[in-house]
Amino acid sequence: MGMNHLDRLEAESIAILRETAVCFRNPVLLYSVGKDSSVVLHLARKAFHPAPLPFPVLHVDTGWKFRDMIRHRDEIAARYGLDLRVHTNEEAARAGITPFTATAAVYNQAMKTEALKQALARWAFDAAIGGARRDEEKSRAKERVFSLRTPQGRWEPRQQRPEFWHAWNTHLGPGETMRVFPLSDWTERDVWDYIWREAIPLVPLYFARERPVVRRQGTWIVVDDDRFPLAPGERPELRRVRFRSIGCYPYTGAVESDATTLADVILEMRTAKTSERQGRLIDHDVPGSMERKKQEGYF
Amino acid sequence: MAPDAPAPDTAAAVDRVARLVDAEAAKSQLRLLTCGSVDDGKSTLLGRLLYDAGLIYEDQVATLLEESRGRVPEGELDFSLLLDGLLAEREQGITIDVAWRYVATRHAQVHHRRLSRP
Repeated sequence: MGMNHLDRLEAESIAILRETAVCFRNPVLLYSVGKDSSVVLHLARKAFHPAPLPFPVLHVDTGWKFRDMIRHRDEIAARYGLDLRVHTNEEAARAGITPFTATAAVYNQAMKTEALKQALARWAFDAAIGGARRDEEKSRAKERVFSLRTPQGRWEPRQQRPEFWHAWNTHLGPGETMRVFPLSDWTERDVWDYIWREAIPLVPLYFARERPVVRRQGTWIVVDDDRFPLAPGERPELRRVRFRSIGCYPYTGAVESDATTLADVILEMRTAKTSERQGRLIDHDVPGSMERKKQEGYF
Repeated sequence: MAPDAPAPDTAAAVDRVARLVDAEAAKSQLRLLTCGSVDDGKSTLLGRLLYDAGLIYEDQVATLLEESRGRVPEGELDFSLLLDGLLAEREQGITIDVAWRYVATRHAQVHHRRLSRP
């Protein structure tokens, strides 16, 4: 029996994670609590087993994540004994930047991009490992596995180093940092198949349940707490929904679904007609918005 | 059962998914790259392959149609845009940097790599 497709992807990712641990002074694993970073966390635990993770885990908390995500994050951190660091851009939060008072671009820049840069500086991390995949988005299809950031934290898509086969270039110049993407070669389907094979625990938001929703911008938004501004007289209705991609709850669209189990989700995904990022209201603000955000240092 | 665990799967669903996942994992892998002169249609060919393989979701086709406007006759798709994802590439109508795309067909996983160096 040779290695199958998932074995090959797993081996490649584990090699990337070990390379990162060896080549950087102070790497960190970005854990967004989503399915992709849950897979990266699982791979990292496998890569160094039986030793504990040789690096901490960072959650950039915008303050607007689903409550389920925070609960799941803390449960996973406790279960696996993770060195969990949480960072919020408190300055922006105090300045009153919320999904309801700022544009998507301003909110994203402050609470995600700036917050990530602050966190990397706060603990002097020189490499940040994330779960981004090339099949997610067109500018991500251009990304290296070891992707350099300037001392200002910027991605320069026209200055990328060659990266042939598995000959990684992990060199950093003064002030530069690295973003590392062990799931570069994985597709959404691979991620779900691997979650199935390895029985990786996921936040329940991926599974259909009755949730209180309102209609916004052609999608269902789950009213996750009482900070959500409802129109006068508006009442959330209960619908059976789930998420294909998760983030800040006011920006994350849910889909109606009866997929309550992992097998159902995988079967439903096989027949999906829209991409997983469609529910993300934040990705669609202007043309090339992901590329611009990435240049500014967004994950 | 852990508090976060989803509802248990039925035996039939488990069996079906297990077979699907196994079949997918057992596929062989094919790497594909195109060679040719400038404007021969290397990116367009691979973009078309992605599209014909049904790998482009409806919302992505809608975006592609929008982005194709003014580049190809009205109502047609500029398949090169599925690979030339950088703003500078779109403005200049050329490939500047390599793109990685992945296709699963019935028989093989196809890994696209469009490499172009002036």
